[in-house]
Amino acid sequence: MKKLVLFLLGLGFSLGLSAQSDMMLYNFNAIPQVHHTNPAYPQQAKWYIGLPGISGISTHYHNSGFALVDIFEKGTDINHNLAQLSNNLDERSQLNLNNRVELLGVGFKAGKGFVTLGATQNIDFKMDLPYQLFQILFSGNGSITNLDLNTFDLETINRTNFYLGYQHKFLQDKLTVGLKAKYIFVQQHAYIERMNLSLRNDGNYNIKATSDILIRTSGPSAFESFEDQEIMDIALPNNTGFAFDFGAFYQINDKFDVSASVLDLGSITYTSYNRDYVSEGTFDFEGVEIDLSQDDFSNVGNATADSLEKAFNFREEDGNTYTRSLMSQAYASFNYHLTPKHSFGALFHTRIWNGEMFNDYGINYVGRLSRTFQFTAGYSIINGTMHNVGAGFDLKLGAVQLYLMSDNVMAADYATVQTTNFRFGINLSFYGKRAKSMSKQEEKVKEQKEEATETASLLYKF
Amino acid sequence: MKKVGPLALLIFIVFACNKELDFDMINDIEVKSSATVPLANLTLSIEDLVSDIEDSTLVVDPSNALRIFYRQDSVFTYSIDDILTIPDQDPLPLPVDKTQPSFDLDVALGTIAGAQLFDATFESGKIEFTVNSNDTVQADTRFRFTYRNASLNGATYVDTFTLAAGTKTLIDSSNLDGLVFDFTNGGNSVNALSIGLELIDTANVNQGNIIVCGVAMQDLRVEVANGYFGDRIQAAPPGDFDFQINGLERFTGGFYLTDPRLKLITRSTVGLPIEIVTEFIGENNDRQRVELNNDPFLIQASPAPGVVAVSDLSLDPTNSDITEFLANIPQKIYYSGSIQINPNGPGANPNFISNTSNVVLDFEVDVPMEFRLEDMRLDQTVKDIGADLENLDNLDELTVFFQSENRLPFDLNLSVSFINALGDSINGFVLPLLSAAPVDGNGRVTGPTIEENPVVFDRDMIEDFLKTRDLRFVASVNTTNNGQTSVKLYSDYDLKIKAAMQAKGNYQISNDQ
Repeated sequence: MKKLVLFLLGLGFSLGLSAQSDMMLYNFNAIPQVHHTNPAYPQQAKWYIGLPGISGISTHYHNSGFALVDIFEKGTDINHNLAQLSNNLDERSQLNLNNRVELLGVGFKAGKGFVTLGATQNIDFKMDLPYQLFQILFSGNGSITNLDLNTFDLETINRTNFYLGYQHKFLQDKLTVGLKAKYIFVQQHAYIERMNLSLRNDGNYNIKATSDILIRTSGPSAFESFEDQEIMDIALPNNTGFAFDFGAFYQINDKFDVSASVLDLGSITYTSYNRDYVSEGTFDFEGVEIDLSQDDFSNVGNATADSLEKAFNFREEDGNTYTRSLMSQAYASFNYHLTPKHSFGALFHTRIWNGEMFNDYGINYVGRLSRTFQFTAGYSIINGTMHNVGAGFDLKLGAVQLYLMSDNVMAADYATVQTTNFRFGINLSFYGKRAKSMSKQEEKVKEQKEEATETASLLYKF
Repeated sequence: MKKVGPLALLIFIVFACNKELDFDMINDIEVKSSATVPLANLTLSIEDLVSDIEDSTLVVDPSNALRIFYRQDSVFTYSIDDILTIPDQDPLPLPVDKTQPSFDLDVALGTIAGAQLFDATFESGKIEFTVNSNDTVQADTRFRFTYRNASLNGATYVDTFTLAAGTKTLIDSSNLDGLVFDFTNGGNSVNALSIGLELIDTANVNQGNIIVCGVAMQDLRVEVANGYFGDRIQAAPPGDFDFQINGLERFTGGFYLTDPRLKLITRSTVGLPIEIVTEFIGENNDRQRVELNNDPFLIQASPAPGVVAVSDLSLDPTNSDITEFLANIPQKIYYSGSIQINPNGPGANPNFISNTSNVVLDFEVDVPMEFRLEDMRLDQTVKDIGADLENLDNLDELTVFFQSENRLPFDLNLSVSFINALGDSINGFVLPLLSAAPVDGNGRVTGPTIEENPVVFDRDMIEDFLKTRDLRFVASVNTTNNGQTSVKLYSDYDLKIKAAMQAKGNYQISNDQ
C-alpha cells in the first residue's frame, strides 16, 4: 500500500500548476494546435512545424472545491474557514491536474484537406475531493465512525500519443470534417475501479466496516525493480491502445458558424507491469467479547486485530490484464462574426469520467486584428467554478509564431484561483502569399465586393 | 498597440486584487471529530461461571438452583495421644537383702485427669530398672522382676536384671512392647499394678547389705485400653483455611443468606463421649472478622472398637451467629478448639480406645443461594494508571455508554474516584450500572432489566483524570427492592453489558511540532 501511495503521489505531483485552457484555444484557430480541440477546425496556416518540445506546453489546474483564500485568508479563523469549506464540498468536488507537452507537431495543406501528425506527452490526474473526510475532520460534528468513501474516484495516466489527423472540406468549403487517430503508449496508470469503503455505526454503537476495493495500477515504477528496467520498456511499454478524435465545422453563412468535436474515444489495454490492490470483506465490530466467568482476558485484543485483518483481506495481485477507456471530451461551439476581424462565440465543453459529465460553459471574443497579432478573450464557468476570465494572443514574427493563453488570467492572484491553465508554444507557420497589391480605392472596392464570400472562408484564408 | 490595452488593463486589475494569505495559520488548525466505538461485550452466565471454575464453591442442583457447597475435611483431628496418655511413672523403691530376698508391692498406675484404666495393651514403652547396693556384690547377682497383672505373649511378665560382680549399682531397661495389663486386680480395682521382686543370687550378697532396686515404666504408648479415661481437656492446634464463594471473592459485607446453615461433622472411633468447643472466625477482604459463636458440640462415643460414630452439628441462627458470619463474606476462616473427654463423668459403658482411634471434625457449608444483598461492597483501587494517558489531551469530551440486559436480581452502583499523587480524591463519578431484574414471589427472576447509562467526561473531568494516579472503584450491590427482597440464584441467569465510547476529539496541528 505504501508503494501505491508513492506511485500516485509521484504521478500526481509530476504535474505543473500553470499554463493554458482549452476553452480559449477552441475557437482561436490562429494557433495550429487548435486541432487538439477539434480535428475539423479550419487552419489558418498552410503548413506549420511545431518546434520539438516547445511548440505546445500546457498545464491545467482545476479545483472545484476551494481556493487557497477560502482557507488561508489572513485575519480569518482557519477553523471556521475549514468548517465552511467542508459543508460546501460535495460528491462533485474534484481536483484535476493535467499537463501536455507537444513533442513534435507538423501540419500541411493538401488540396481541400489538411494533414496533422505528431506526438504529445499527456499526464492527467483526476480525483474526487474526499469531501467526507473534510466533513468528518473539520465540520465540527463529523464522526470517523460514520465514514463512507463509496463515491471516491481517482485516476491518473501518463501517456504518449502518436497521432495522425486529417480534415477535409465539403459542400463548397462550408463543411469541414476531421478525424484524428492516435496510437497511445501508457507509461503509468492508476485508477480506482471500486472504492466501497465504509465505516458505520448502527443504532447500538456497533461498527460495520465494509471494504470492496480494487485499485488497479500499471507501470514499471510501481515495481521495486524499476531501476533495472530497460529504458524502452519504461518509455514505450506494452500498455497500448487506439483512440480517435472526431470533429465537424460548418459555416452557416457569412455571420454564423457551428462546430463540434468528440475527443479521446478509445481505450487502453494494460498488460504489463500491472498490480492490483484489493480488499474485500466486511467486519462487524461489536466490541471485544469478554466472558466474565473466565479469568484470563489477555488475548481478546489480539484476536480482534487478527479478525479485522482477515476480514478485509488486503492483498496485492500482479499480472491481471485490464482495459480502461480514456477520459473522453466533447466540444460544441457557435460563433457570430460581427465583422471578418471580430467574432463572438459560445462554447460548451464536457468531460466524461466514470459515466459522469463535468461541464464547462464559455463565451469568447476573437480578434483577428492582423496576421501579426491576433487576440482572444473570454469568460468561462468551468465545472461550476466562476470568474474564469481567459485571454490569449498569437504573435507572428515572420515564420516564427509565438502564442500564450490562459482560461483564467486571474490565476495571477493565486489566492483565489480554482481553475487555470496556461498554454505556451512556438511554431514555424506559414500562411501563404497575400493577395496582389492594388490601390487603396481598388482595394476598398474589392473588399466590399468580396466581404461576404471572404467571411465564409475567412477562418482559413486569413 | 492600442488593442493590447484592454489586456494589460485586465492583468493590472487582476494583480491589484491579490488577497493576502497567511500560511502560518496552518498551525492553528484543529481537527474536530468524533468516533463512536464499541469497546466490549461483557457477558456473565451463571451456568458458565459455575462450570468453568474448578473447585467451585457454587454447584447446581437438579432444579438449576445454585447452592454454596464447601467442605473442609479434618479441620480438627484428635488421636489417642490427645485422649489417653499414660505419663512416665515415678520410680518405685523395692528393697531386698540376703535375709529378705523377695519384695511385693501393689500400687496404682499414675494417670492423667483421673483416668481409671481397666486394662491396656502397650504398643511401646520400657521399664527402667535401677539397683543401688551399699556394698559390692561378690559375683554376678540376678534380680527377677515380675508384673503379676501383666502378661507378654500369654505369660506373666517376668524379667531378670543382673548386677555385675564387684559393682554396687545397675541401670538397665527392658522393652514393654506388647505388654498387656489387667488393672482391675480381679475385677475389684482400677489402675492396679502388682509388682514382685526377688533377689536370686543371695549367696553373692554380703550380710547386712540392703539393696534398693527401683523400677519405673516410661515412654508408654497405649495400643488399646479400656476403662474410664477421665475428663481431660485437650486443646487443638489453631489453624485456618480459605473459604471463597466464587463471584463474591472481592466483596465485603451485606450478604444475607435466607437459610444460612453450616454443619460440623465428626467421625469418631473412640469409645467415649467428647465435648468439642470450637471457635471459628471469618475474615473478609477488609480484614474484618466475625465470630461464628457456635455452641459446644457433643461427639457421641463409638459403640464398639472399629465402628465409626458420626455426629453432626448443624449450625443455624438459633445456635450460632451464622447469619452475620456469612454476611461478612469470609475469605479465610480461622479456627481453634478444644475437647473435653467424658464431659459428664463416667458413663455406663467403659471407655475404650486404640492407637488407630481418632476423632475428626469436618466443616461443611451446603446452603441454597437464596439471599438478599444489602450494600454488599467491593472496594478496589487500581494503582498507577497514568502510563499512556497523553492522548487524552486531545479529547474535548468522552462519553462511555453502558447498555445492560440484566437477568441477575441485583442492582449495582459503581462509584469511581480519581485519586491524585497525594492520595486525595479530586473527582469522580457515580454510575448506576445495573438495575435488578424483577423477581416473582419465590425470588426467581421473571425477565431482564434493560437500560443504558452514559458517563460523560467533560474537559474538566478529563483534566482531573490526567492528574489521577490511582482509580478507586467502590461497587455497591443490592438485591431487588434495595436489598429487602430475598432472591434465588439459578444457573440460567445471565448478564450482558455492552460498553461503548464516544470520543470528541480536538487535535491541533501545532501539537506535532
